[in-house]
Amino acid sequence: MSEVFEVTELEASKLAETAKQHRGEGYRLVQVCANRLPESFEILYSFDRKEQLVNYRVEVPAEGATLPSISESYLAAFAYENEIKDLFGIEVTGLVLDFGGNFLKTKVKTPFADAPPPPKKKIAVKKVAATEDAENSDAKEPAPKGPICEPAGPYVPQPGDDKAEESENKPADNTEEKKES
Amino acid sequence: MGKRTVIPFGPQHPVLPEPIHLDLVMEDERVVEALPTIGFVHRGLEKLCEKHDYIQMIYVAERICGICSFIHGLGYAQAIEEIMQIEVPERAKWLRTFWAELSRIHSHMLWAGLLADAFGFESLFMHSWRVREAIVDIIDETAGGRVIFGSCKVGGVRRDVEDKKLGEIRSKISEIEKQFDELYRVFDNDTTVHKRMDGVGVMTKEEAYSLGAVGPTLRASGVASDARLLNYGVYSELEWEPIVETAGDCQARCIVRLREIYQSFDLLRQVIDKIPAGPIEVDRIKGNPDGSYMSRLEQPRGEVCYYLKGNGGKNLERFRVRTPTFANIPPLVHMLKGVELADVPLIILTIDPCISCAER
Repeated sequence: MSEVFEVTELEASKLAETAKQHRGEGYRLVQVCANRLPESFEILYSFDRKEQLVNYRVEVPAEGATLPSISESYLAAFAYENEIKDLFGIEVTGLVLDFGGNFLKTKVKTPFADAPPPPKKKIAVKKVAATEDAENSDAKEPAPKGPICEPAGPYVPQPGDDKAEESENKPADNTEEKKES
Repeated sequence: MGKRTVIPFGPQHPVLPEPIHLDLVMEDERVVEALPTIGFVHRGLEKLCEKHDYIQMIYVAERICGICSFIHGLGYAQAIEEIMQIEVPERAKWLRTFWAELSRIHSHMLWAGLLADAFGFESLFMHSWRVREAIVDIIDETAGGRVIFGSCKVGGVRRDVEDKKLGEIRSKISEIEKQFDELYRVFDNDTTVHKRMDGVGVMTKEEAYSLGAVGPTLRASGVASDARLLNYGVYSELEWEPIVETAGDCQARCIVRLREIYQSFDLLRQVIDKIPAGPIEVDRIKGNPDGSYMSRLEQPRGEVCYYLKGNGGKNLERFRVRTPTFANIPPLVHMLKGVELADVPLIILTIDPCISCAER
């Protein structure tokens, strides 16, 4: 048995008035969540009274985003609105307790403010049956059998390289030198 | 008017389990104002939903915090299951409740130890954590991990607990409860504990409600609000009531948590007696989440809200956690006004700060 989640669209200009109305009706502020969309920010406000959740969605344009504060009605909103300001760079006007960008300190300023990455293009994969594969294969030589190992490390001996032969002999020389010493 | 100074409290302080900074504006020995600054443990975990798909994100969600990790994973799983309309098997729901209540007990016992350490009662701190070890051992045996359970997944749970094992755990719980009785007697009756905690950091019912306090911080001021009343999981089939105290001071917040430990022991016994047989996971999860949902759960620290939004791709568009400690920061700032400097660490600890949760 889970609770129903419904969201009502709200304009930013009516936000303060709605918050004041809910304050008078005895609702408590549950959360304020911001989300970056490609062209705008959407902010979700949730209020609760007697385990009944009421949600509002406010959308503001990404460029020059300003949001009126609800901290006059709900003092607790200062934490959420300062967090939105610090993470998303949304300008919140009329904050009762404004930390000026110093509430949530991050190494990179407004780390969540960038537009989301575009959806990845789906590459069409042509499925080829197993019997056709061998006939239509472009490979000139058959695939080598067994595991292919490449030597690790900074120096890769090349064919016809004299140094390769010397490096192979070096460990033996070292042991001989050690025995002598 | 006395001389005003600003004392920086934190981020490193012996009493703080995690870093938080408070600028305490002092007038002689009294705090006039407290200005919090957070971000020392900010890991940007919410943004990781762009990199990990919705099945993998549960493991990131669990690692938001070490103490309340299971319920983070559970909240995430419930939200995804609601968006994708996945029907979780009954036994999985009961097992989830079993681990959730174990998580609550171990978290409250850890907190009780830290609180005792905050006012200098080190032996009580040691004994609280000793009793907690027995609970952590049960978690380790059943879930596989002491701190990060790793047992919740989208569509069910990852491992089962045999009924024989559950029976053994039921008798172990009774023994642990007897050991915990001694600790409760000290917290409830000791003169030094009362001297430090009675009448300190008082918050009235109206103040607590209007400032958005959640969890034991709210219930200690007389408001019977508990997210388990939303009847998620199997709580509608268990007999329980929110634990409420009316004094609104540090002692009330302490007693609420200790009584919740007893309540969780009782809930565990009910779960073990009533758990049905059956599968523990759905067969297959098809498709991607498309839609949004907010699931609310009761963590040991209070109400946690998980807002998840999917747009049909395998990565979520938004993953937002409103943790109880974040909601308790404004009440904390209010409670610190007018108290003496020596009471500041105690009041900070009575909201049970989990800064990893608050900053994510």
